[in-house]
Amino acid sequence: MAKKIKNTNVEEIVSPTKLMIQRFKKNKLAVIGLVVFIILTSLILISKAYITITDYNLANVDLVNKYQGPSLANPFGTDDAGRNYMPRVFLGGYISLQVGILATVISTTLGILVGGISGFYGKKVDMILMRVTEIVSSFPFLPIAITISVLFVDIPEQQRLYVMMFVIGILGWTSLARMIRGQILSLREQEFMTAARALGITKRQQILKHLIPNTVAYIIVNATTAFAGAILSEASLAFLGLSVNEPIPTWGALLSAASTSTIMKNYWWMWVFPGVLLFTLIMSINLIGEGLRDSVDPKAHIKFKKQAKISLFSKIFKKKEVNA
Amino acid sequence: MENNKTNALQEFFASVIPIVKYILKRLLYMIPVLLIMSLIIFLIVENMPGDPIWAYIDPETPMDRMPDLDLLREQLGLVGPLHERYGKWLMRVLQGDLGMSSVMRRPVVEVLPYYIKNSLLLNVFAFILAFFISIIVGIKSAVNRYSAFDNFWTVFSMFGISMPSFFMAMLLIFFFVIIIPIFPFSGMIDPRANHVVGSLPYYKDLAYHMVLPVAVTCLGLISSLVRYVRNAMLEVLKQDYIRTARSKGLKDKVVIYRHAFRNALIPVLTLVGLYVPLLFGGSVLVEKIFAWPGVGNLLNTAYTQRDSQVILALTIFYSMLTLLANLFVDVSYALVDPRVRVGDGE
Repeated sequence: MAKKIKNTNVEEIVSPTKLMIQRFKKNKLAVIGLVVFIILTSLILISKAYITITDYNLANVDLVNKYQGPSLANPFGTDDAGRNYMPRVFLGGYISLQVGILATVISTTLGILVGGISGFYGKKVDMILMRVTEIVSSFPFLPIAITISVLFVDIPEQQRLYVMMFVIGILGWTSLARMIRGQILSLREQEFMTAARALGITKRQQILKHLIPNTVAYIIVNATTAFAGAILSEASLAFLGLSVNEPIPTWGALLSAASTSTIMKNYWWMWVFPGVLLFTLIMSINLIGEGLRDSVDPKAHIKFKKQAKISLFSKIFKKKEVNA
Repeated sequence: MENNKTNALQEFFASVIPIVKYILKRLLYMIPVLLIMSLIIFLIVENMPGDPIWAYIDPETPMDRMPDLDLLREQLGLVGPLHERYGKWLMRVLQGDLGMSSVMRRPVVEVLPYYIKNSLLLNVFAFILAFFISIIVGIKSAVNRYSAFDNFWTVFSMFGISMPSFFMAMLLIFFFVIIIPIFPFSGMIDPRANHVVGSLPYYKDLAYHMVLPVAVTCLGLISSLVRYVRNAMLEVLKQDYIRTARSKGLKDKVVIYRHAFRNALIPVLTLVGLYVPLLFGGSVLVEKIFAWPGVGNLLNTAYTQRDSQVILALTIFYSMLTLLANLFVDVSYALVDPRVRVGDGE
């Protein structure tokens, strides 16, 4: 880049997205988080593909080999029914990712909708929506999730997964809605929005084409943290026995089954592997989120930002000189 | 003299009246929220699996001595159109009748206080401890930003936020119960010891059982609170009046604790209010793993045993807690920060 500037004497214009990526790359922890996340996800996806392709039977019981420690044949040991523990642990991760992604999609969509409408229309709509947000956000998550799950006791196992995504999503949109509302309230007063209004652009287009794109960076950051939160929530619910049941494994359920003193004392692999993987996955996502937050934050004083500011000022001064 | 007195009195009223007005206004705000919440809870009641009527009838009643079910239903207000049932249900709840527990066969109102007391014991203790530690650490981190101390706590809170509380509990149990057996595995009191309730050994045993659950709750809380206190402090330290105070030659301690911290406390105070219901919600996991006989554990057993009336009563308990916490936040805001009441009055 430096060479280019020297040769042409014109600064290369860096787009905000590029700037964000450059800042993200500078954050070593965030990059490590990203790498760990990619490795974990691909391991999980590979095992899921393996299980689907080979039609692996998760309920295959082999009582002779129960509670075998980790070995070459069974890298994560075997469980109380002699099953190879590794595919079970990784499949648990698949369910975590599945629930996490869909719950995040639900909560992010709701958050954008509520926040956008509330911030744009203001007044009574804003008052009502913000009251609703307040009610939803102040409910403690687990008790409400338990109460809602009671209503869906009778539905089949596979559909319980959707109930869980729905519960996690519907309770998790409030912080994003608040943030988007605040952003839009301040963006609404800016000149480009006055121009948009003056040009007679429809309200829907104003929201979708002009306001929301300006908040995308914040939405991405929020979605990352929400994703980590959703995985944690899923694990907690599964730990309480509200998720899908045997023979389909989830990390929370595996940990719950292993939380007796006998298993914890004698068969460490039963709880260490799912626990450590769960923690690592959440941690890596949180690190990515933290890195993204820093790279989006305009206050972060990184070299690039300073350069941009200086160039901006120099342009203004030059213009003034021309005018004079 | 006389004049001075009345003036002082007038001034006092002038300063108190806006606060009272503000609190009344917030209380009025609570009414629609309460109504909406009660409606939601009622709809959940209506859709609960199982007939609540059976909780009132002893399962060993012989068939020929069975009471008139229809009559009982009418007495309990379980018949009629939806809005009528809602009205009757609301009246019963307002009179303190939360239904019967189908498992314990006792009115829920009689059962609840014991569990609430236990949960309070655990949570209040953990909360106070976590709050003190995070305030001290948060201030120190903000003052010595990017120091080794600050970096350590940043990493620590990253860990704490990502760590599921039940896995943390399992790790602590593994190290401090199984490997080095210093703490008990679960429960609140050792049932074999037969302590007299209220005696010194009883409290000793209780404290002994509390260490691990309090530690797990604390670790989770500290990791999010520390960052919050630190950021609030950093925000305040940037202000002009801090520079003024420093340039006046005030001691660092005075500037930090008297000028900066008091203002940083305002956003932290909000957090305290908001964390109270969350804390009770989160303790479902901790109470389950340590078999602590608290509200969270009760909710969990009620779920597994399908004791719908207990679940409902607890939902009401959690909603009340939430509303009270919100009110507490609003009122304390008004008391601490005069700008809030002025801004609201306009």
